[in-house]
Amino acid sequence: MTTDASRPLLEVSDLHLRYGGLRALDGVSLTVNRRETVAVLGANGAGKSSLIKAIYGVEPFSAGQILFDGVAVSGRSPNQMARAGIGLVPEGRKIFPSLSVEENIRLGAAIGGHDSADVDRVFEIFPELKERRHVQGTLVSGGQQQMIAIGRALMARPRLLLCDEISLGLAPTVVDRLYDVIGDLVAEGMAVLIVEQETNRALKSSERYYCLLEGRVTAQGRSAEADQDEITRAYFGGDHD
Amino acid sequence: MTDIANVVIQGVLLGGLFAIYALGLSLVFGVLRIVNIAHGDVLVLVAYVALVICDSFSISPFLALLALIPLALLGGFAFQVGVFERVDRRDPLVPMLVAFGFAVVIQNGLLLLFGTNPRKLDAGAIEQLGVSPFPGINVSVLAVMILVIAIVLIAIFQAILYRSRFGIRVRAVSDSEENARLIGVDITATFRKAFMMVMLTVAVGAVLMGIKTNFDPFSGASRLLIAFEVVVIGGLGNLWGTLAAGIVIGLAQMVGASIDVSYQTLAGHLVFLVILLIRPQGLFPKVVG
Repeated sequence: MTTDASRPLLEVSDLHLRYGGLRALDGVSLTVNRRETVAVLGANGAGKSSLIKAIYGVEPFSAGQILFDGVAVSGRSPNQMARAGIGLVPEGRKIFPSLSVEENIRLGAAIGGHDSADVDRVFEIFPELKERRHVQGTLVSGGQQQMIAIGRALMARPRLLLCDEISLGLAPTVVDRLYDVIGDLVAEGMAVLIVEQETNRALKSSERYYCLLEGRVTAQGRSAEADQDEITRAYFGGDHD
Repeated sequence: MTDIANVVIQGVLLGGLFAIYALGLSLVFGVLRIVNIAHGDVLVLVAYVALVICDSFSISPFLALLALIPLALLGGFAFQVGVFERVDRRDPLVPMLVAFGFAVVIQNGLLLLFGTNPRKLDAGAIEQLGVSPFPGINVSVLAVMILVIAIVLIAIFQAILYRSRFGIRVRAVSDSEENARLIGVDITATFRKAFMMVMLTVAVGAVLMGIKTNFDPFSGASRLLIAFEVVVIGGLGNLWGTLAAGIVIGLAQMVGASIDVSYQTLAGHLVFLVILLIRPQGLFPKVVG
């Protein structure tokens, strides 16, 4: 199958997801182009993490379609998504306490089946992890755990990286560092979909944005042209001064 | 003095057999988080299959093991796909009850087919073979062989768990099945392969048990009890701890037997109880990295 480079790498159309009676996603559509960073903004409970989980096959959605590189991937498992070329940096990092720093990173290769030489690349990106490679994964700092989570996702050589709240609970300098790395990955050809509560940071680091409120897209556009008032209205709903 | 040395040597060697009983349970219990109370009965079932193979083809139990291993792997795979994958494991009571049901079926099925007479696998001259490295010290070659097999099996499993991609996946699933699934680990494939590893230990353990001791359709409960004690003392999922714990129970049993042969089993259980009271997390907690 040939790849149409002009077509978006990820196309999400009219996605609906419910948790019992609660509507988590209500007709969400978005696209992510190749070599592009797209931010999904929204308050707690807006549906951001549900969107990531639905795309990655963690949560089954009731209606809608997801195309990855032109191929329908709806209904696939997270393992199949990883093998298709989508990586996940999950909310809360999900570091495994029985595994060392290096083993937590290598777990990504165990999913995607790539060469262990990729560990060296992760250690080039995050040299501080190499120094602590044999330490229990949950005993390093929060920032380093986030680096492990990103490194683990990179091990499967994804073409699209889904990042769920990577700045949560981290010092601003660490967050700057992580977003610099994401910028480098995009420059190398990766596409990134980031979910963030911290609006300014996400807008600064992305080309385009979508704002979610109660499971619906309430605003979208180019990040550089984003109007703060419009974002605030889309973020919280109603009139906010 | 030689009596004490003999007791220690016999205890250590017996520990090898107990470690093999417990190795599969340690993986199921400590890694896959399934309380497989049919483990002892599955050991006995496989020992009967070995008996049938030996009797049918007039071959040594060690040769029968070559046929038994693929059969056990196949059986384990079928059991995992047909049973454990179909039960709701969110409630640990459900797979435990299913395993209990299978234990009852195995016991009654074996009773129907083989009756209550104790059976044994005949390994030939090796069973009587002994060496005396020092005056008054007697060592059974078979018992040494069992301990060596236990060490080799544990070394192989340790290498798989701590040096392979599959091992990393297994340990991640053991930490959190939900998180492992979230980041893309294929849980079903991981469980199937791990259960086949378990059945490999069961095949080896069943043959060695059948050679070393008598067995009947109801022997599973006593084997399960020893295996549980070894797993708990050894620390869940710690394989070298399993060997050490096997030796602790083996030593306790031999010390008990040296006082009075009727104390053998009771001494093992008492040591288990004492350790459980002092260190409920086991003597050798799980290692990292």
